[in-house]
Amino acid sequence: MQIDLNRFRAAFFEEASEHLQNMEASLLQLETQGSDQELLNTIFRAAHSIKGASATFGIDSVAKFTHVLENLLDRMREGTILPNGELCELLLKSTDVLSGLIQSERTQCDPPEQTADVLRRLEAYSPESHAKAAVVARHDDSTLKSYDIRFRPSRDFFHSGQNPLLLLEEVKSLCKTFEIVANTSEIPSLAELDPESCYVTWTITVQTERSVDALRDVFMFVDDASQPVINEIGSATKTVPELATTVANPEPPTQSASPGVTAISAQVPERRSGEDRRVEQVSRETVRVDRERLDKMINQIGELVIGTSMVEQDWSRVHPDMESTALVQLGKIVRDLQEMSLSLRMVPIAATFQKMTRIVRDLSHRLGRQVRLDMEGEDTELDKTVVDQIGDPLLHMVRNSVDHGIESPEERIAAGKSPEGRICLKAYHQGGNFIIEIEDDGRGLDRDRILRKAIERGLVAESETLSEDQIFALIFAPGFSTAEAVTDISGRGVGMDVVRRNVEALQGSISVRSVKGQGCRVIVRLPLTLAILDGLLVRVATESYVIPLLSVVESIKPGSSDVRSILGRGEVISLRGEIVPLLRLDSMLSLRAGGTKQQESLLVIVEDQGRKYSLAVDELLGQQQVVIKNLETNFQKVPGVAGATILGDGRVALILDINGLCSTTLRTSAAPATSGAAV
Amino acid sequence: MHQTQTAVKGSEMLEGGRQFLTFQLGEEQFGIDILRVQEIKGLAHLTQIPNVPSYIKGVMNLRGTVVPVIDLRSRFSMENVGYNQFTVIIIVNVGTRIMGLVVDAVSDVLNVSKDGVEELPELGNGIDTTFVAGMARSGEQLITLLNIDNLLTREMAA
Repeated sequence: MQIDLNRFRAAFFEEASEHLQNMEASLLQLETQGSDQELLNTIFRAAHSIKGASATFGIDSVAKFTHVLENLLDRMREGTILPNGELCELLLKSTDVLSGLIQSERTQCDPPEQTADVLRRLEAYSPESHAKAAVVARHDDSTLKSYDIRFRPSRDFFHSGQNPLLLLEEVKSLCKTFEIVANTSEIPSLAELDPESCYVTWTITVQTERSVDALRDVFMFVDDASQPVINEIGSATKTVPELATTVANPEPPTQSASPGVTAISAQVPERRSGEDRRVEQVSRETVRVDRERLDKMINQIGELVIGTSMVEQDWSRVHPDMESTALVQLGKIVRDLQEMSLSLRMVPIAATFQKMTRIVRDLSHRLGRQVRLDMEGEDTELDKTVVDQIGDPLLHMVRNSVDHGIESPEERIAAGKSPEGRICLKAYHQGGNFIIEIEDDGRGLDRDRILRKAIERGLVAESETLSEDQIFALIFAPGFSTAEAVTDISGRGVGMDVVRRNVEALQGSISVRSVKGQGCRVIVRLPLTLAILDGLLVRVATESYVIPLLSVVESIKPGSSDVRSILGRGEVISLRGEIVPLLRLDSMLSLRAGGTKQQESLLVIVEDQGRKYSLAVDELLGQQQVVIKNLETNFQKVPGVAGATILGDGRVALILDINGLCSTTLRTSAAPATSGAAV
Repeated sequence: MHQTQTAVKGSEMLEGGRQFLTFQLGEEQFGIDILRVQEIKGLAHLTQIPNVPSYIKGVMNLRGTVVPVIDLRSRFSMENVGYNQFTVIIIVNVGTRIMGLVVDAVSDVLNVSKDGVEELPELGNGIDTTFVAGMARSGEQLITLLNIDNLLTREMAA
């Protein structure tokens, strides 16, 4: 039977990266907490799983590496080797190498350079060299313990794809002496024999210096019913059960067992086809689904919502005074369904936060800083797309905090602070938004230096007076960096503006607060999901547009005296004393071809990056959640348009990109007068 | 005139030949590879898009997918006659994209053998022919076969 290994390989890569993440997280914890059996077990299990799976898929480089790693971890678990800083460093490196190896296998690129070096260092710790040392050191059998292992695989053992012989081999490799007895008494006559059932049981007596846990781990992936009973026996005398054939090594069991049994192991792989006797899979808590399929489903459910509201509208047109209970119920179910479908995409931010731990650790070591990273609200859930894309910006900001924020221990003591700096990552929900805060208690932003630098770079004019917020916002300007020296960590001035762009691409916003000498707090505000947007529906001429509610400040009906024309080109309004440029959506969107001038109707005040604009619209149609459709899927990016959505009546409405719209309009058209007034 | 185009019937489809959906723009007949055609829709509401060339008439809702619609008359700088009851939108697939083409009317499905496609003669300077795949004959009529990949991917780059 041909099995499509590639599909499983993809799953392997995914699982391996999860195991690696676990491993890394536990290692970091181990480093701070010191030896902890539970942590060591977690790390070992992760390595063991990767080893097993990679061997199955014939990824030898990974299997070989994890094998060495596993040996070392096993020693650590037994307490023969105690974790120290150096060892943790090495183990962390190993996870890097491992992820590099897996990556190289996945993309067919070169394996990481340090592989050989790390492998050598791992081997220096390996049990072979240690075992020899141990044997020389204590040449008595006092550490040698005897165990009695009764291994009774369940009847359907083969159905889970297990081969008992491999397990027995593995046990043997751990033990000094190994005696095995196969009990074949349960094998029925050939006529009754089911070749897919396991009838043989084994009793093994071993002497080993390994712990009982090491023996148990061999059977780690064996289902509960088949778990062996392992008893320590005080004396080295062996009890050989009657009715059994004694064999001296694990090879013979195949021969000693009836021919039927040998045949089973050969047949199992082929015979596991679609018969109804297929054993239930081990129940899992999660289901892996291709993201594209999930998105398609969520999209379709979004359509269902629109479809339902179209039916509702039709109904109320035909029967204006009658409510259809069936329809009301349908509407409720559909909306519940939509809510549920959206929650499918939500994942906790924890994994992303976890990555930061490693960065902070490595960086602070390199820079000679003492930094503690605290996290709050790692379980807060966020759209998977957002989680995936927020990683890099977050990384930049955390790096910045360590590199620029936290001072060296000496400086900190001189400033009267504890030598250990603290960075806190916080995630929480606030009014339909997801907020991430990166707070540090470092030196904070230097207002004057930022201003000086900005003037130097020509970002602001010397004569301008800026509010504190505006000054801090300057660090997000392209090409701005106040770091004295450009390091390889940060300071090239590509950091914060990229961060802002990334956050804005996710329809989020970013702001920074800081007190000099006390620290700095960056607040990233993100939508919970990218699939749905809270919007203000407006009418301009004959078309409807959606303005993202996030950027709407207010809407006003101006008096005619509030609108002033500047130089006969640009227009501004005076909003409670503040001068705000007035943008006419109809001309910006090239609507109303007839040249009829828009009535002084309504102005929607929007804010983008701290600047206000007023947009003239004809009518406010209401506030509405809309499902975002990407224009680029079938078309291209259109300046000033963030996307499209389908309204209840089936029409397409464009979602305005306030930032793009305002900045392009101000740059190209009547710009000089209005933008000057906006500052 | 519809009879004249059915010179080659579907049953006579030639080995290695291709089928083209033919449509009308003014007096001219055009053809596009039928495998690219997803469906043909009546004229639907189009939402205008700002800051794009005028031949992009807007976007339409095709069962939940937002599909850009191009007016082929404007695209080929032909006289604009306004839409009538025969005006249709041909929904085509270009790579992974879905797009709509507004045409005056669809005419027929035409079988063209491999040899039936003739090279476009040199038309002199200034006439862009990269989106013409060739010419085909159907009875008395000459049909311009369009290469929609060239035609539409160009729009994207613009």
